[in-house]
Amino acid sequence: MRTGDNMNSGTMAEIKASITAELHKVYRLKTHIVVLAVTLSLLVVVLVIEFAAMRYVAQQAQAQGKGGPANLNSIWQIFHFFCQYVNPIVIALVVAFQTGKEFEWKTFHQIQLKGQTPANYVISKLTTFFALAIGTYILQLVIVLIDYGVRTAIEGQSFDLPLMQIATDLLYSLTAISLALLLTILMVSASVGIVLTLVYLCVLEMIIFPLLGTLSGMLDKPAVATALGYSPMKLPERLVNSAIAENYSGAILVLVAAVLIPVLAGWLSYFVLNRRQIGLIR
Amino acid sequence: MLIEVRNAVRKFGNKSAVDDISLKIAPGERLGILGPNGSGKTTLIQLILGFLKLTSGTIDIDGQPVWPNRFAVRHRIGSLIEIPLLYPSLSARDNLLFFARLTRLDLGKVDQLLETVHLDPAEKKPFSTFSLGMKQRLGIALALMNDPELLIFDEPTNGLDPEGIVQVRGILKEINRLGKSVILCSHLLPEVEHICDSVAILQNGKVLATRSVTDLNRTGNTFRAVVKNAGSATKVFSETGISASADETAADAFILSLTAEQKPADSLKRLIAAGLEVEEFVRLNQGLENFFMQLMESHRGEH
Repeated sequence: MRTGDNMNSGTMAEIKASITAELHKVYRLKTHIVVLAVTLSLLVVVLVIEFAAMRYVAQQAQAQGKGGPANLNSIWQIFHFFCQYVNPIVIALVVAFQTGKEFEWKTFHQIQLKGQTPANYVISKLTTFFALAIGTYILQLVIVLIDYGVRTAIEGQSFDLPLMQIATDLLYSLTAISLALLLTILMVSASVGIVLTLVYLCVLEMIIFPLLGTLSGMLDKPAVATALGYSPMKLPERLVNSAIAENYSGAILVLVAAVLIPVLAGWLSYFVLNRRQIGLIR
Repeated sequence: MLIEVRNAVRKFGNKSAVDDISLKIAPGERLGILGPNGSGKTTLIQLILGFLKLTSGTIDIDGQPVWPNRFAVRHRIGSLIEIPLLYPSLSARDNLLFFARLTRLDLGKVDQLLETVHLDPAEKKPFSTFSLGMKQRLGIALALMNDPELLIFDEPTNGLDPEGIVQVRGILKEINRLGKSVILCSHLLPEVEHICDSVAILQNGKVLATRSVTDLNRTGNTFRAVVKNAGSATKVFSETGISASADETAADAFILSLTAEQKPADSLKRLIAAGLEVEEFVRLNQGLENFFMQLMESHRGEH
């Protein structure tokens, strides 16, 4: 019989082994190459377009004798846009595809036959994709910092970083990954997982919720707009706004809620897997 | 005992998929499970692997109950349930490496395992392009990976062409030499006959009979007698050193196993002297196939 300490160290070793196996698998499947190629190349293209546009605007302004300092905040707005929309969508779709495919091939059943627990499965998936998201975020941040550093030096402007915004921008991808994993596990299918993830991120969060917010404003129902402001993908933005307004207790509450979402999604995924595993044989 | 199944019952609604099954498998024993579709073979395998919970009864693996230790138990079992479902974009070696990392095994053993099942470790072809036979062989390598005490193969040659069947059967025979316990579920009786020491025949979730394959193939002094009141007939031989046991294929039949010195005529005389009406007394060279067919025939229509 294993003692409590042995059991804990055994469980930790199993979790570590699951994460290592998952990281190696992602490496062999070249998932990281796909994610980085899409997100980094898109960012570089957008930054080049922004640079060209800013130069064109500056030349036009100079020609009209209205020259002024360039607004380099647009670089951080682009980074924020990528963190808020592009990265979560790309990584969440990869999560839905990869995890969903595993269920379609019933590979999870094979993994279960080798003794992996549903908890280890969820933890290894979340850790691997979080690592992928953090890697993407860091590489994009480096690119943006280089661009911003060079541009501020050329323009002779001060090197001011929107630190709060930069820190919270990471939360968008982590939230999207957790939700995509949960949706895919619920549906046990890559194609349905992808569709649901797209519906949630692109239709609900980007179109329906803002539309409902506007409508509730017009109909003088501020409570609806407030509630919609707490949807998972809106929490990071709310966190920044609270911090900027120096409402620190509010910011802490929002931060807790933002951290709770991946935890809850992970737990629900585990719960669903634990019940569903029986049905996976044939 | 490595596996001890005691009065296992698994119900789905009112229907019993496994109905009061008791089985024992000793270390190194190779048991074939036979039965028509829906007889409860796969449900029994799922119960042993802990994928299903028992309605009543117990299943122990080396003294450890499967529930609630199902994950720990699975580390000690290697299994191939029909076709293995692995990562289609990864090669055979990369697939095994994933599972080796997952189960914290020596990565160096992967190439050796691939050679055991006659797959080339240097081959880069993805799993999705494998023939069914190659997939099965990789599945066997995966089952062997953690050096398990028990191997479970459920229909390992299903859907294979004759060449694939011969290859997989050859590998299973090689595995026999490792001295591991094996449970083999198959529709192919010659496969079970070639690989297993004993067979359990299931129908409607019940074990109809268990037999040693050697006994079934015995060509020497094994006889089948049909008498009225077979219960008292076996008592006739209780102190003679002759082995007499009930034959599950018919109510009035029993099996006599004689040694080379014991004469069949003497046994027949004993039955007649006991006042029993002997309807049949024949030398057996039954074989698994005949035994299976007789058993199915005698239980036809039972629910």
